[in-house]
Amino acid sequence: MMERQTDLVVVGAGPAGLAAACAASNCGLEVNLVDEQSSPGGQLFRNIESPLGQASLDAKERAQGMALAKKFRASDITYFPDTTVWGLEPHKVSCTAEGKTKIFPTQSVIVAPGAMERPVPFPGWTLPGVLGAGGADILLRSGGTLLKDPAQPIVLAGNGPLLLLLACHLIDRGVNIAAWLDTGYWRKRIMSAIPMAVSFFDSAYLGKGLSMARKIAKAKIPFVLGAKNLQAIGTQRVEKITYEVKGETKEIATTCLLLHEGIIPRTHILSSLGAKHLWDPVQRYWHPEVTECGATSIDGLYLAGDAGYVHGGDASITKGTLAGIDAARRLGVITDSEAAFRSKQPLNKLRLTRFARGFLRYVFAPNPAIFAVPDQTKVCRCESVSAGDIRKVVLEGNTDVNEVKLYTRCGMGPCQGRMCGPALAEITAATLSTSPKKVGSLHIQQPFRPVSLENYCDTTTQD
Amino acid sequence: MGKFKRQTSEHDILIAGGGISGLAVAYGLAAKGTKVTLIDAPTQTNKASRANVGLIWCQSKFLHLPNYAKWGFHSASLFPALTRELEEISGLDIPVNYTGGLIACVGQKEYENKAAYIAKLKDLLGEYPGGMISRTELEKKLPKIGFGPDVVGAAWCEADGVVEPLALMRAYKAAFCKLGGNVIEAHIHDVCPQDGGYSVFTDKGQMKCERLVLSAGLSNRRFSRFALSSLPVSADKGQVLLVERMPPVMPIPLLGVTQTFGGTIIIGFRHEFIGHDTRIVPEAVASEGRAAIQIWPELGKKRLIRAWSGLRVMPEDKQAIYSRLPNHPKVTLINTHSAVTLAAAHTRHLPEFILGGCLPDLAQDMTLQRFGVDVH
Amino acid sequence: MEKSEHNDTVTILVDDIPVTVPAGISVAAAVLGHHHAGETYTNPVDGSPRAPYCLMGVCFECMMEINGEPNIQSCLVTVEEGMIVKRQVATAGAK
Repeated sequence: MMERQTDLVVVGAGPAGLAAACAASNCGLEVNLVDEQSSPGGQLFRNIESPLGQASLDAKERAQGMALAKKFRASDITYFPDTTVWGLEPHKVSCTAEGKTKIFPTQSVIVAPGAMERPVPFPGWTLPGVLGAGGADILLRSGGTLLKDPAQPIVLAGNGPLLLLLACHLIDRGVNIAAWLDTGYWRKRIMSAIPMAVSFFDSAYLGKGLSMARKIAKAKIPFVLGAKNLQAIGTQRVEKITYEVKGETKEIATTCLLLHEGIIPRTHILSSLGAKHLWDPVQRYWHPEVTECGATSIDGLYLAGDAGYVHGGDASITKGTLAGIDAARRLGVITDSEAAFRSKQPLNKLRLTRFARGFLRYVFAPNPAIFAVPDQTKVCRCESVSAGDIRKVVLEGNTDVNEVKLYTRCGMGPCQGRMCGPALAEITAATLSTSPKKVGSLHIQQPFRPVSLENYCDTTTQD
Repeated sequence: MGKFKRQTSEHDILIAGGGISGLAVAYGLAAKGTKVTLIDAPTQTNKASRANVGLIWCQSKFLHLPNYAKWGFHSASLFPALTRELEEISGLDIPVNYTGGLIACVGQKEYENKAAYIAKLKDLLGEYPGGMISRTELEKKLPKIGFGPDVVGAAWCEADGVVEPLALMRAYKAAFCKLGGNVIEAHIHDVCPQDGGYSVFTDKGQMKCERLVLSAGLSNRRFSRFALSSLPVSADKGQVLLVERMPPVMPIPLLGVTQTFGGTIIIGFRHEFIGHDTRIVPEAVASEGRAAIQIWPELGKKRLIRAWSGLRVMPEDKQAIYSRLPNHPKVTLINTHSAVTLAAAHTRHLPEFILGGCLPDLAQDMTLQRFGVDVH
Repeated sequence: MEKSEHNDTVTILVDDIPVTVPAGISVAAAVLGHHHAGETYTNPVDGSPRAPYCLMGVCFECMMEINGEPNIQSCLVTVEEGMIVKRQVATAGAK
């Protein structure tokens, strides 16, 4: 069904999307907001309107999230929950809701798809019982448990701020953490000392970090530094894990392994549209090039939140606000000077946050060693393509990830390379002794999400 | 890959363009003991061989060009031996089916038109391994497909088949390298005659050769400019839809709706001539989808996982071009719309022509001479 | 849009077994975090057991049959009273 044209469609109801929609609506724009979840909040503020969701946030974030959701509900924004976006152009957003097609014509689009955990393949990572830390946190926030018997031990592994948060949530629930295997990159961590000092200007971050650290220290979790060559072993699900430390192989019996190797932007929508992307050599990911207001290289298309660059929830709200204001300015609904006036405070805030977050970029830089994936390990979960398959095709003379994809099928499955793309690039680059920046990134094709052929065709008949 | 510049002495022939056609002749030449260097661009360029279903398709075409129709049948007949040979040399599998091919006819009129066309083709060719079949016979051939109510029958041809096109390319390339061929990934900027030979300028340096093959698809228009003011080929845009994986239901390929060896379904019927515009047009994709649903309604419930487009190469009269360039007898140009079907013929017959010999009888008329270009 | 009442629960059928879970959560979270199903999906290419990995719509490992429709990303579907969920597991019959 074709909806009425509006000034703006916002895609995503996380912190950035909600803030963008609210700011644009405050500027007088007619706004539609579409989101694939059934209630606002995104990942950070998931289920923010229910006590279950509220309970899993700290006091500051809870207040922030509840205020944002309240403001959003009170606004005149038209909200389309449970709506999956599968096609997008700067003037048209195509979705499916309850099995039916919805098309939103619009003058501008702000996409706020957020971030995702960096997928890093290792032996056994496809086994049930192995989960992303973010995924595990969502289970806890859904009132669930990771294991039927909560007394059974679980293992955490990896590197990144989310692991700290998850550990705190697990400790709060009395989960038995058998070990925490750190795979961090200490060379980069040392470099973080200088920006770290700067970050004292914004003590909220550090305060949060320190209180988490205290909680974790108190829980006396066995913490292993420099863990390498992690493996999950089992037949129907993970039964034990092994890892190496200081040249020795250790083993832990567990049926649940939670992995986290940092957070990367979700770039599918923008890369499918050919927006310009930049490579961050420290965090080792591609991110779209955007202005401070979130304008991309494509006219009428904005990006807000962590999908531009991972700065966290606070910054996402600010980035959303700035994008919403600029969308109104672009359409001439508010003047340049009004836009500058409205943007002044959020801009200052964004600059400060970015500055303060600078050190996290180094502290939690991924260790390139994690991409030394053994040959037999599946890199592409959907099409079951191993690291060895990839290396073989690279050595046959294919130097671009898209060529490697063609010949291996790596990235051709339903997830469209979301889970294997970063590792595919790292493995290809390492095989050629070059930087992942040089081997390209997977070309993404619409639809972003599978849509029934019937729905896809119906849609366009009505144009 | 090392440093160039490469000298003439390192190879007898340079091939510009590593799509299916370039690889087919590269392998054919290497198999004859020729020293060949093939230049292929890394991605980011329009590559027709990447937007391909992999049909080996002989039937129901080229009534106006009987020799070209026979050329297709001839190539298909060479396929089984070729793929076996490639598998053996490369050590790679090439999934391929020689099960024949079907064109479903929607509506009585379409069926009758197709029947009339094939009748004429049969007369013209003398022998033709196929014909029209009824809906019942069609259902017997593809029992797992519930055809739409408007499907009245199909055209059938036992010479058709389907190959996994990327596996074919990969095997060609690997076999070519095994036989001493050299592949260089580079973007070609231009080709110029120089010192009695040819210089190919690339982003990785200049390369020289005495003998040159231009098999760069649409880019042949640029690279042949030193000898030709215009090359009569145009960009033919195809939009391809990929539908989620299903258990094997299609032992015989259907034109326009084909199950891949991996189980996904590829839909693609259209030809558009709109320059180099490769944008996906949802309306056009939808019309492809509707055509497929009309033939096979159950497909409508299946999920589309992606849509992409590619530019194929269409010579003005649809017939392949195998030609020397005017005043440049050591340059051979290859352009075809049916690179998969003709691959086997290209591998077996074109090397001789490239090395200075003649084209086989069936392909005699496929030079640029037919467009009024003097190539003798 | 009305908010879900707190303390509300819904009951869904997972492979014919009733499972009561908090309202508002996803089917994947219900099957994994409450029903503890283990394998929920068998990879069609290599036949290996899989289960939801990301729970936020990225990995496509949570595909299940929901109300008769196969291959649904269950982490993007909210549980509803009486919903019929089936794991897409090759060895389901044997278990």
